[in-house]
Amino acid sequence: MPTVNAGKYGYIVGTVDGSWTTARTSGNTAYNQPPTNFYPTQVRVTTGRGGTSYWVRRFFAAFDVSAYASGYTISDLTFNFRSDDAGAGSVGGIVVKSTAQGDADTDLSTSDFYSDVDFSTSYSSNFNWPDSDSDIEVDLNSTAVTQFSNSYLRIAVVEYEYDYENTTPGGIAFNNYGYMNAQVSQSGFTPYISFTAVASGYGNDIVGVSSSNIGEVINVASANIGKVIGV
Amino acid sequence: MAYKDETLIFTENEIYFGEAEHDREEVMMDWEDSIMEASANYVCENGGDILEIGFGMGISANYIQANNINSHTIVEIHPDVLNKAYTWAEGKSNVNIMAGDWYTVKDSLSTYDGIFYDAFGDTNLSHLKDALDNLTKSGCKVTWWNNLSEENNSLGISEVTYEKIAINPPANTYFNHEYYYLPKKEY
Repeated sequence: MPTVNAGKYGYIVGTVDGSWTTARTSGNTAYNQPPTNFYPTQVRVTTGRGGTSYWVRRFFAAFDVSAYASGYTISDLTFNFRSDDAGAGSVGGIVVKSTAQGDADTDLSTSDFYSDVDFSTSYSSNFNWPDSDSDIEVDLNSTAVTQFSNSYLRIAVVEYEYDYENTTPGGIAFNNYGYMNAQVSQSGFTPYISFTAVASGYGNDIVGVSSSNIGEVINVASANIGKVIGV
Repeated sequence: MAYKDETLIFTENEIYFGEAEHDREEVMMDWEDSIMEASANYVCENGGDILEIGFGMGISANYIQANNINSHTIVEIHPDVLNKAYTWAEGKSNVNIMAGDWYTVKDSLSTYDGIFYDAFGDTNLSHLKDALDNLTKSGCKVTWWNNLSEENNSLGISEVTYEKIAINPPANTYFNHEYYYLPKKEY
């Protein structure tokens, strides 16, 4: 099963603000290829100075899948990261479309925080991450698979209940709503995707028989046939 | 855990609690000096009796003391900060420190010519707007920590003017903007 490591990955910490809208739409600091444990996905609510304040973090990753942009049928696509024991139990996240990080070769900037996240295009169902050391595998949907034809898959992982749903969190003092702890280079781990790639094979009609009805030619599966007699 | 039960860590530059990155909270930092100075000077414009809710690092308290005032009442809820406040108040005859939640002790308070509200983790913040009616003399100057990055406030107080103050805060968990909008309300 092929795997592709993230060419670029990182997270953006939003601006702390008493307005949920401002907090959700304003990036403050971008961290690229962070060298050790980090807390990339989070909605944080505090009742600190002057009332309730909000703080949002989002994780981004981009994968160069140009080698599979054509000629393959992609399935079983998953996003994989490693959680550590400082996770947040039952809280969850969701993978959505990102337009940040160029051709998986561009660092994040704070302006990517909101404008490059497409909350209307989800790449997964919402998922929970555990509060124990473990490798997490998130199934990505067919919408994510279609991005292979564009040569790059770019994702954002956002907190589900408040950030994705755009629901103002309750003002509970010092509460955190979910964070994904990802170990990266500390343990030699880079977020990656894995998938099944089946070569599309010979797609032409042969002697008047539709390619859709051809499973193999002289005991060779059509998926393994590039040309028939040089055609 | 309530704020008053948190174990605070005091350094030369800040007060905070929580150690891990994801649960660390700065309570106050010294980059706020210009905000504290402007806040103190505003509430002291009338001189007279000043109420300060929340002592913090004592920055604003020093600026209030630098003004020509009659009395300086400080309400502080956190025991660790209270100890700092008691030490700071030694030798200052016009300072009166009240321990506890401002909302709990409010009926023991007087009326004032200036009020600076800057409490942390206040679960009674929603009552402040109404309480001010009973704590203010006519013409009283009131300001408070504004956690919005605009000419607005989350307390629902109307007829407020704002002084825009340029700031340059380092990375922190409570205020990240380039400008602070100091609210000014005259009663």
